Order: sequence, then structure tokens, then C-alpha cells
Amino acid sequence: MNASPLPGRFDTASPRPRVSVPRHAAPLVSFITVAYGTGSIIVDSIASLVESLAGSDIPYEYLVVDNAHAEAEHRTCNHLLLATAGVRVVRPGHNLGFAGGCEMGVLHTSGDVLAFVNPDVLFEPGWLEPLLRHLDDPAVSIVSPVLLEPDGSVQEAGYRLFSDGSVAPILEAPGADETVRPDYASAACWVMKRVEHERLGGLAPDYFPAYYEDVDFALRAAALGGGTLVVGASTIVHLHHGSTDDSTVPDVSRQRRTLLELWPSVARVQPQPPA
Amino acid sequence: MTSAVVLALLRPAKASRHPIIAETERRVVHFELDKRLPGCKLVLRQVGESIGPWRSFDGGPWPGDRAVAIADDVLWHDDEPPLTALFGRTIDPVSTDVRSRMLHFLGLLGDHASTFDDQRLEDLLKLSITPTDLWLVVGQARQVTVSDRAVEALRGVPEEQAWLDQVFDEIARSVDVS
Repeated sequence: MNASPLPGRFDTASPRPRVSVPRHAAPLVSFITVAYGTGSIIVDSIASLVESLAGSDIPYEYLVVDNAHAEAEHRTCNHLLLATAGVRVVRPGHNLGFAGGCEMGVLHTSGDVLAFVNPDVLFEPGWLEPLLRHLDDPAVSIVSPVLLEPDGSVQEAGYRLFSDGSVAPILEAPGADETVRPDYASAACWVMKRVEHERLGGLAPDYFPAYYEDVDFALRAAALGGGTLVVGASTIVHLHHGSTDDSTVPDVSRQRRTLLELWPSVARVQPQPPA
Repeated sequence: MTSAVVLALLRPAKASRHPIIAETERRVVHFELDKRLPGCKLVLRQVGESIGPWRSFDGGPWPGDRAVAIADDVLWHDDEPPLTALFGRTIDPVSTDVRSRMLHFLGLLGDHASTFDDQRLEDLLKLSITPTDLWLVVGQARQVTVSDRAVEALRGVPEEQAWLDQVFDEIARSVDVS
């Protein structure tokens, strides 16, 4: 484990960038993306984000935490260096996993609003503003858009959590003026206030390298008076498993057991899984 | 909007208490207060340090534009972990535990931090360190050796301090001294 709180970091400055992230002295929104051997899709994602915000006056910053990947150590970095400008990059030098990467990103950004976004999401115009409008609701900790498949069908409008720790996506999207309160939403795209992140303690490291830390955080939020809200007026496209070349379905049985150990109330309170 | 809130900790100043810990506490209290009163200003004073008498915690118009006092035991228990006591009313200990484990995981807490010194403070200030994180790191250290100059860096801009002092003096003058 790296004992230094200051891993390598730099801002990209490609001489011929495909996408340039504007610089704001006092960003309101800090976008944080955790990469792990991610390929060119991250450039597509950043380009769609910048384009989606081109007509807004929201000041923002974009930071990538480039977790070390044994077989593709410089892959993400090379793509960013070649094709982007103004992207802030932090390289921990080892793999912090998803939760650790997100938290490292929090430490290296300053916006009052945090937006954790996967490197394999494509943003649509007007997706952010509807989410920001719900952040002042004291009963809401996390706001998320509806995640769509590339063909436009609904991937999830949040998830339901069952008593055995299994989960199922909500496939009925709320209308444009509606919201949904799921048990949690995938952290592929989360928006929250920094103070709320602080109050809740951040993502837990217990689920390393990834999966179920978002469930854990959402349960903590709900237990402490907040919760998750999916906003129908906001949609983005999520390319599942686009973060790496690995398209296999991950085994999350260990993370699921960890969740049930840390949250024994899940077995008592959540409904039985469907037959 | 509340323009100023002055809080006094009813605790005699302790010579052994390092100023950086006091400053961290101020940041934490301000952080908590700012969530309820965005843009408020905060001055912490201790008994023996005050200019005028403080209104009681129960009777004072808290939160408001007047000087109020927070009793010692609201914020501080010697027998409990400081952060839990400090955040006891607002931040769940579970959250604090999660944060502590994450900071260990990230390498910000660990054996190397048994001494909190200027270099460590400088490193942390390069990050967007939160009051909780700062409190955890400082509180973990067995020894705190930070220069006045480093503490000043944590305190913020001098103009803000001067403005706070001015507000504090104005409020103190408005308090009935009878």
C-alpha cells in the first residue's frame, strides 16, 4: 500500500485534443471517473460530457483516477494524453478499486457537488440540471439519471435489493416529470453534495475491488435520513462493461456476503427475491 | 440569512491543547453550522477569553445572529473518541468508522502518522481535505509538532479573521452586561 497521500498527478494537454475540458477556478461540480485499464471509450465519454454541458453555465472539473492495471498500465493514460486537454489525472500507482478510487478523487477535487461517473457512460444534453435541482432536498443523498442501453431501452431506473442480497434493476422508467425512490442506483452515475458525502463517511473499502459498495453507501444514506432518487428527466447511456475489455459477468458472491454481514437488517427488512 | 454566529466553548483553555487541534475543531463546528446556515461566520471563544457574558445554550436564540454558548459536554467528552463526541449530534459514528477505514486504505492514516508535523500538514492541505479527515489524521497522532506559520495556513486568509474579530466585538458590545 502506498503510504503517500500524494500520488502522481498531472493535467492533460494534448497539442491536438479531440476534447478540451474548460478550466474553472472555482468548479461547482467535480466529475470523478475511476479508470482501470480503460481504453478509448473514456475519451468518448468525456467528449459527450463536455458537449452536453456546452450550453450551460455550470463550472466544473473532470478528474480521472487511473488505477494501476497489471496488463495495461498506461492504456488509459495514453488515450487521455493523446486526445484530451484539461483533464486532471491522478495515478495512485496501484489498484485502489472502485471505492478507493472514488475517494482518492474526492480528495483531489474541490467542487461542492460530486459526480461519480463511469468511463463508459455517454451523456445526453440536459442530463445534469434536473439532477442538481434535487440536491437541496434533505431527504435525498444521491441523485441518479435513468441509465439507458445503447439502443435506447431502459437499463435501470435504480435497483431493488432483496433479503438474500441479490438485486434486480427497475426497468420501468419514470416520466420526464417523475422520480423513483429505489433501494439504490448503480454508481455508474451518482451526483451528490460534498457535505453529504462527508456526513455519510464516503464509500466503504470493504468491497474491494468493486461492486456492492454502492449498495452499502445507499443503505447508510437511507439509515441516516437520506436516500436515493432517480430522476426521469435525466437520461444517459451506459455501455455495460465498457470500462475494460473484460466482458465477463463478474462474480460478486463475496461482496454480497460482506453486505449481508455488515447489514444484517437486509435479511429482515428487504423483500424475498422473486421466484 | 444569518450573517454571524459566535459560539463559545465553556471550557478553560488547556495549555496542552495544540492550536492546530483547536483550529481543526473550529473548522468542524463551522462545517456543521454552515450546513444549517449557509454562509454563516463562526468564532469560537473559550471561557476566560470572552469579552462579554454569553447567553445560555437553552435560552439563546440559536441559531441566530447573537452570541451563544455551547456547554462543554455537548461537544467534548474526555472518555470518548473525540470525533464521535464532536459529531455525536450530527454525524453517525458508523460514518466516522467507514471514513477512518477508508483513510487507512488510502494511506492517509497509518503508523507513519504517529507524528503530525509541518510537512504532513502541508501535504494534506494540497488535498481537498475535509474537516472529518483532518480531525481523524490529527487525532491519530501521538505527537503534534506544527509551527505557528503552518497553523496560520490552516486558519484561512487574515482578512476573514479580521472581519470575524470585528463581528465578534460588535456582538459582544450589544450583549447586556448587567
